[in-house]
Amino acid sequence: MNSEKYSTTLYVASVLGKTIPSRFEVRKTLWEHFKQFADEEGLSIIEEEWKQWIVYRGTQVSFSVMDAPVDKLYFLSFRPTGENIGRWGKNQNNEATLGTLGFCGLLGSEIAIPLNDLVFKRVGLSDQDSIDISNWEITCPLSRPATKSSLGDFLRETGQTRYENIFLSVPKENEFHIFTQTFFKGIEPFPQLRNILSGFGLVKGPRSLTTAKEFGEKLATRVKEKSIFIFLEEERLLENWYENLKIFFDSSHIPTQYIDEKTVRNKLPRFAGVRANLLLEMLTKMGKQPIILQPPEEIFINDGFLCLSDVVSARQRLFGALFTYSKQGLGPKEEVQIYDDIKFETPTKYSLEMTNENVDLLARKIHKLIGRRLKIDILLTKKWKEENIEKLVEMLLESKIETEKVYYLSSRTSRFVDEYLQKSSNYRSCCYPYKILGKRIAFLKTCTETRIYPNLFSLYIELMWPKNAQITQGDLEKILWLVKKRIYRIQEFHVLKNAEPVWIFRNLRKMYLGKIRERLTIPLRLLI
Amino acid sequence: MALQIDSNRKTISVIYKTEKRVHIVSVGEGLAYPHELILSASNRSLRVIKGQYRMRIKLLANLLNFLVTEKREKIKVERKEDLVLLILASLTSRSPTSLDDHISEYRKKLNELMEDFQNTQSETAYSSFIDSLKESIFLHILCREIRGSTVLHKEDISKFVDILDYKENNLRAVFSAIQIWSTQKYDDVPHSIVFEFTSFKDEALRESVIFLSYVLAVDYPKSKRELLISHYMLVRQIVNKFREVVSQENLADQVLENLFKVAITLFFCGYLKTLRLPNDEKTRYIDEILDLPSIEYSLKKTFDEIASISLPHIQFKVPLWVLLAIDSILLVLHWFNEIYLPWELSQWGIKFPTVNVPVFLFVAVLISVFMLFRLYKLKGNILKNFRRGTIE
Repeated sequence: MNSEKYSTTLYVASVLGKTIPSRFEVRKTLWEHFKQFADEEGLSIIEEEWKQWIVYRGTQVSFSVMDAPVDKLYFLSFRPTGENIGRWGKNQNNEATLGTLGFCGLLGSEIAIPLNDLVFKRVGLSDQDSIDISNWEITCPLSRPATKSSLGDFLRETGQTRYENIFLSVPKENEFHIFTQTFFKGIEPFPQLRNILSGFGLVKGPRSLTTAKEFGEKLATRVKEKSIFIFLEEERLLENWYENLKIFFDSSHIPTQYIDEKTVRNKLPRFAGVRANLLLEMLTKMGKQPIILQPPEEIFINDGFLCLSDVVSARQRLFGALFTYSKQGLGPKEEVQIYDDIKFETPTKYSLEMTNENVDLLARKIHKLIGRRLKIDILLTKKWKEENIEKLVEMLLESKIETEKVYYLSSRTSRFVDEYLQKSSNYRSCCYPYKILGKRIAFLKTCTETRIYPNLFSLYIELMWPKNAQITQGDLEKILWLVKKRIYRIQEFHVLKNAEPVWIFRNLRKMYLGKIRERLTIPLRLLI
Repeated sequence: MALQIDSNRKTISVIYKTEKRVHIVSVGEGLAYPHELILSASNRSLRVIKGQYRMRIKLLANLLNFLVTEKREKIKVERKEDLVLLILASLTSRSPTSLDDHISEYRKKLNELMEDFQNTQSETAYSSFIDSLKESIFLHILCREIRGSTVLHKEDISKFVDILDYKENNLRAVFSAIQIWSTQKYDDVPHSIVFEFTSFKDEALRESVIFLSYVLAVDYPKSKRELLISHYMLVRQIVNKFREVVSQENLADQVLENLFKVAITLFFCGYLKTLRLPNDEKTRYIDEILDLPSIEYSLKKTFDEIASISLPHIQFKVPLWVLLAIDSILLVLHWFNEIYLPWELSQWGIKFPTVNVPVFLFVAVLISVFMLFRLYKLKGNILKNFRRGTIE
């Protein structure tokens, strides 16, 4: 069977000599090369203090250079760029992708530079190197009886019934407590929201936003278990409210949902998918997840993933640990812990270092979080120093927690585009192509649909430990499960890009966590 | 004793041999459902073994298939570190020599989990330990019934019970029941176990209680009635739960796991081929107990008893609704055509004036007083019946 190939805007070069040139040197040499090339081809360039862009048929193309010293590799990646990239729609993103691919087509499949004889070769994706998840299993544990189907069938049914299969499977014994400061009874969009929610439980309120905290404090546990607080307001007010008060509700184990009034007015009544997203997310926060993407048994030998991340923002400098199980039925017990006594440094935006004492302290805290002997994989959101990882693994082993592999995940490293989605049959498919480069680095394309700018790029995955191991398709399948585990965002399933733990830490950075005594523990489901 | 099953009529008959004659008792459809459940699960097992299911489900399906048909499929367990899978696989293996090794590793693991909790006092470690204990009980029953091997040893049980939370009454009772079943040294089953079984709530232990309440009822006649109440109550619950779903195709793995566990348990209790009852049981017992779940039977009988008049030496009973009807007729007669009888009272030589007593009204009042008295004693009588056991 012929395997289709898809070109990308990623190039890789092997370093042949003993010395590895610095990134600065390589970038500088490459830029000189591109300037000459642009001159020859009649392309314009933009060169400012922090911008080095080439303009190809209206598409501004930027490039980045990254080294992988362990594998003696250099990566050169091109991506479209410009003003307001965050607001680009599907068409703009597609045009920019084609433009960037066109530029690389013109550039050729090899770029040789006069520095250490580096020859960058263009990398392609192929159908052969892809992960087909259409056979992965979806269970609906709350339907009577609990049922299962393959992911492919489930998504097909969801499309055909316009999410009706989901609406039918959600439990109806819920209490929605609505809080607002503006949209009281009779003022749109409150009646719209009430009408939508009343099909799935009891709608209570609206109450004033200012009473929410007191109301939450007085809520009986029995009621709390089936309730969710919904905050309906303008986006600006909600952001402020979210940043400051979400942590109170999370630490009191009260699920909350923040809904922008524009979403209720413009999207909820019109789009069944948005309604499905809202419902599934709320129910998941309430611990009643109506649909679950089961981890494939054959790839999950370990008990789960430990994700370690800094939680740094302008107002706080904390460290977080999250444990997520890959064994059936343990989801509700997953927790996130935040510590304020782990001291660390972030020498660059993408790296983290800590002293041995702090690694030791962290290992003890993880031991308390996990609390029993397990076999785990570790995910890092920043690159750790090798000795820090070694020490952590060693300390965890002393507590009978055996680490199998340590991965570093990044959605912003070596961003490149590809032509995979130009073939219409790949659009919204359940086949996710990947590329393994060297022994320890892989790029996994986790989006098979383009809506926003970040959907264009693949996820960067680096195997950090053990040193002598090689990254395999099995490793990528595990990461893909962590990404698609967020199926409660059903309408966005094909554009889910980041692993759930990474997403959670990103959310945590937006919250002001205040003063923490020893540790702050929050159920994972509340932070999705 | 043997069973005859008429699958079209969904009925089941017990052929019961005594020394002199053979009784054939039609037990009714209540008992046929557990039998059907085993057959449905067993029919499904082959599809599961060959289909895309988790290894645990496949192994349980294989085990049920093996018990019912005595045929075994070869299923290779890749994950050598999962001892539960290895034990389940060994139970159907032709060369079961490895079972004892797996069991000893598994015991070690249980003890490690206990130590983890003792060392960390962490909630996660505790819940993980409790989950494993619940799983170990079912495994113990499987291993003992199929291969005669012991998973839960007396010394382990004592250690485990010592650190159980005060809320784990169900688990504690099951452990005690396991010990009684294993040692057979007791005169009777302690009341605390019987009480816990009667009010059982923990779903994770349901199959184990169905089995233990049954085997203990067989071994300990003194507590038989109470234990059988628990047994049949749980069987009824379970059978009702699965009746609707058993034929559904796309059941989740969790539901299938429970289905196979239940079917295996019901098989152990003899619902497929023979009822494992002691030979000295009476036909009446089978007729009364097995036809209706005991609790329902008990309530029905108590109500019937309370709401009826039994005249001494005469087999005659009037139910409550008949009494009410008589009462109403008498009142109507009193209204339209009353008969008055003169009634003279005399006491200590003193004669009271003659009174005309309305006969119909008088009898109606007497019946009402009787009914009130019976209703007043209703609660006490029901409780008394339960404590005593349902059937004399």
